[in-house]
Amino acid sequence: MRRMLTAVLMVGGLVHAAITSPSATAVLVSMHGPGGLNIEGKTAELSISEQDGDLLFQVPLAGVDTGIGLRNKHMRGYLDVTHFPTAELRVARKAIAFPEQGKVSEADAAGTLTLHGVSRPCSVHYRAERTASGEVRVRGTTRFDMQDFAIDVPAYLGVHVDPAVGIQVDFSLRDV
Amino acid sequence: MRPLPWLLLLSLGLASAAHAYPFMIRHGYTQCSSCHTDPSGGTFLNEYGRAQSELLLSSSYGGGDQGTDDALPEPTAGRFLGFLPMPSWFRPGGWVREGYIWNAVDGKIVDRRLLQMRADLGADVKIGAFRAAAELGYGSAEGTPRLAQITHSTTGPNLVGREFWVGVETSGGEGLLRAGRINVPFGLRNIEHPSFVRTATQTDLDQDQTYGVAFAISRPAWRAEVMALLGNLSVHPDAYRERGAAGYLELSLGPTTAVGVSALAARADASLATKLPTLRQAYGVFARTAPWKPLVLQAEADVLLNRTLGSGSQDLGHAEWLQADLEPLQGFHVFGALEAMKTGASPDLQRGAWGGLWWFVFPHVDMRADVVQRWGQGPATLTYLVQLNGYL
Repeated sequence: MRRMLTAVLMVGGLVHAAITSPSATAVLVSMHGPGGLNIEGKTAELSISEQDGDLLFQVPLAGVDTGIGLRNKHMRGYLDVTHFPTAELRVARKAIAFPEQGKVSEADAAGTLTLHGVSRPCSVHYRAERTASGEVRVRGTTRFDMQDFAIDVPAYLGVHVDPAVGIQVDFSLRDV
Repeated sequence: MRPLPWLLLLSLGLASAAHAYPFMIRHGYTQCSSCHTDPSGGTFLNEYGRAQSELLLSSSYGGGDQGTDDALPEPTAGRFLGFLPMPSWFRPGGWVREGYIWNAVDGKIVDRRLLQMRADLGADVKIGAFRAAAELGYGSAEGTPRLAQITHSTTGPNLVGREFWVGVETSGGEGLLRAGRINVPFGLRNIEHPSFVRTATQTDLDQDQTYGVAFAISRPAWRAEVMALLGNLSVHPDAYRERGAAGYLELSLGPTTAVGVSALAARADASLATKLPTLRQAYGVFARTAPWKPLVLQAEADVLLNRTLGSGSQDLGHAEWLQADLEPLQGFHVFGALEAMKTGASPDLQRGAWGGLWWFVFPHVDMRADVVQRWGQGPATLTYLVQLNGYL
């Protein structure tokens, strides 16, 4: 019994370590503006931790790069990254199903998004695929309205972006 | 065609240029209407476009790369001449382009001269959904773009009007319905307007605008424009004016890749080339991609069909363009292009190679040097052109 308990705890520890050590991380923020304007912000900074049975995804916002320095500066101002440096997504661990080897799992999971000091419920669509090598590749997507998070809709020289924002997060895990 | 008239055509073709930079796709701008008043790209920039011109086009000194360094000052885009505040609904502009050209045939310089390429003033207006744009310019005796002239002196300078239109925005600003003298929507709107693809399809930005009614729409994943061609009123008599339709559809496959198709069909009672009633058609595909941010590749391939009406004869031709633009340092471009063309008027395949340097020295000022070699029809020709461009 003790051996079994030790094994379970060890496996649990391994799973925890695996989930909190993602690789190939990529976060993509998509916005649109008038006349077909597309704006994409990217960062590879993503951390995952477990808290109280939830998975907590955190992205430092200062590192999001839209490809234009001045636009990054404006974005940091709208997001007030000095006071609210990270975006956080909290999802119940049990809401995520990791697939068997060679299989794919895809579903929607309820979560809570915290941005600009405001927390709102959200729905996250995820797709997880376990490859033959055991690696699990995960893609999660969600959308939100920046006005729900008390963020002013960015405007620059007559160009206003749409308040709807798309988020796509990619990462890989091993041994989960 | 004998080499000297051909060189003269090339010189006149090089003699003026408007602004259209499809290579801005490297910054994720697959759409033109974000920055240009013309939703398919071209001369007039809106305030946002002027800001991007300062931020992304021009060399930066001591401040690092504008694309990555965010500690840089705000552009002066909202101010005329950099300091004079202007109302957001009125945007005046001005363009001056001067150059020097050398033409060589079989290795021997046969022509060299200063080129007055462009001296235009213009403005665009945006009041609510109402839009209008117009430009008026000076064309020297040697440098007048004949298909855009308003006055018709054959010996002295002329007034030139390439673009003037009024329109109304639709679809929440994503659409624009307009009428006037408008750039013909077809293919890449590349600045190299003497390129075979532009001359063969008669869709260059220098003088091939025509009168008509056009509707353009720009969505995040695609853009399109269709135009009813009602004839170029700079051409006399009326029999030479082409009437028909043209348009394109371009799809964005990602933030830095776009592919498109174009079509044009136009009829004239008398072709400028043959003086016979002619139906001219062109169908093409084009693509732009930035596989690596400093590198942009552009390609276009067009099929050309010319039918002399009533004769039953139809000429089949084609034109191709493949261009690479490398920007190793912000504002400094190295470019090269290969091109080919066969028209029904000639059995020979003409080929060309372009190379050059382009430096956006300061906001609103750029310098460019081109070398263009062409061969395959008559003796090989070589053209050198240096030019200085300033715009407000």
